[in-house]
Amino acid sequence: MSRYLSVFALAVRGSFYKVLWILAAAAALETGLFLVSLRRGADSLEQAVEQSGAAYGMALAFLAVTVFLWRTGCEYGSRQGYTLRRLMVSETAVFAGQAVYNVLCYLAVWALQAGLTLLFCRLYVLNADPASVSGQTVFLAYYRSSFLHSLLPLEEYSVWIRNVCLVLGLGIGGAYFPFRQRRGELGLAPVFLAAAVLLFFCRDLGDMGADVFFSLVSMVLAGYEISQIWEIRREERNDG
Amino acid sequence: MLQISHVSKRYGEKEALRDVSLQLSQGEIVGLFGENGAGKTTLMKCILGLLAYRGQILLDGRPIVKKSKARLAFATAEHSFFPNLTPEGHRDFYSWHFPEFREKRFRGLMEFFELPIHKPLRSFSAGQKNQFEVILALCQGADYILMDEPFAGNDVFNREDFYKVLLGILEPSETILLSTHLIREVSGFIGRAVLLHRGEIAGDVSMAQLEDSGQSLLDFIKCTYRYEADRVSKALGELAGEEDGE
Repeated sequence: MSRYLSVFALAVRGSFYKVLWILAAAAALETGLFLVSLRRGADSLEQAVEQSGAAYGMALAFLAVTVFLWRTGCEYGSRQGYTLRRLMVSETAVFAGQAVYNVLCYLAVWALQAGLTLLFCRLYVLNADPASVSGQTVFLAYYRSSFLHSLLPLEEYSVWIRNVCLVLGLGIGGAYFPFRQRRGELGLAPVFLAAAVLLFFCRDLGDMGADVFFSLVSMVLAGYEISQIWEIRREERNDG
Repeated sequence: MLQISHVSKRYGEKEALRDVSLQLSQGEIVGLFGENGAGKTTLMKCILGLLAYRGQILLDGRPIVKKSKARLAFATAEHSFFPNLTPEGHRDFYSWHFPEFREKRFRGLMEFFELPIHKPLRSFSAGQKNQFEVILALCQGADYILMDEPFAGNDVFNREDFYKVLLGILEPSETILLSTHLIREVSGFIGRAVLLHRGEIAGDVSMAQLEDSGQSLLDFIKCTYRYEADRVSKALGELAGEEDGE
């Protein structure tokens, strides 16, 4: 068991503190921007969130985390693949360990953003004119703002499913990329998914078709990547 | 015993290894020599199972499988460590994956070469990285240690230290296959020299045989490769002649 944990720890050691720093910086930046937005004044909670640019802060954090996660396990300055292929555990286990770690990191990105938006709601309610705030203010903001709704979609289950599929797809893609890079190849499939997340993560209420589409794309890409790894390892085993 | 029988390897059209057969007995220190592109690195990668090949490589009469791979260690000028891990992290990682990891030897060599144990490898100098690469290979607990240009970039004193340390710490069961261009330097360290030329074994001689024949390793290699000592002066003379003619 410790062998499997050790390959999981390889991925953790490669980027854990960097991811932590990015999340801390994103939290500080977005909170600062939201406080400025509150000072400038806003007609509603969703407007305050929108004009703060928190969505761009999240996009930046997502991009930075993605770069650091995907770089982990790539060969820069050392051919660590030589060692990975000589271990008692298979390189597929190394891939799985990294994928699990990536999924946890993307969940942390989501949890941080969701937590931040809840903090923003609290700050808004505390600072807003009591006459303009009701028990429905926060609830309605999560339906009206595409950013807030995409983060915490309340009872729109298709968005929850889409988000879970995206996190899984990105996590697997982030382990697939270095696996191919160690063989001198470019595994670009997950790059398309990351670009799609950046461009289309925020979406309005009730677009179930888009949710189904993105969930399917994410899962098909993940399936393709896993099958590719399976195939490459099979060929290497037969060759070796 | 590591037995390499009729091993061939192609990269597309190019034949990198052609029908190579070689035996390495336990306890030998073998130098592997050859021009750039002779197939030295390819041969090592085939032994380690990092490349597909035709032919057969047996370890104590059996094919090399996942379990027996721990009996082979590899140190390469390309490096195979994890840059984000510290030496301490490597020690733990290797101890988990290679049950025969030599912790005492690791500690001793780290101290001897004064390498920092808590700094990530990416912050090491080029020479320190080479040293650590070799230390890891020596401490894995393998019976066969393959080294591919491990000292490229290290200064002459450092290399000298390594040869001495190697001779001092190696146990009778440990075998070294050392690929290098530093012929003169390693001639006092190896017990046998294998020459590869264009993917084929061009020569295989023990240092004792060379000593008996009164030939130096460098002369043997030059002779095997039919190296023409006056090649450069001839070429320069021809060039000078052409210019005079113009």
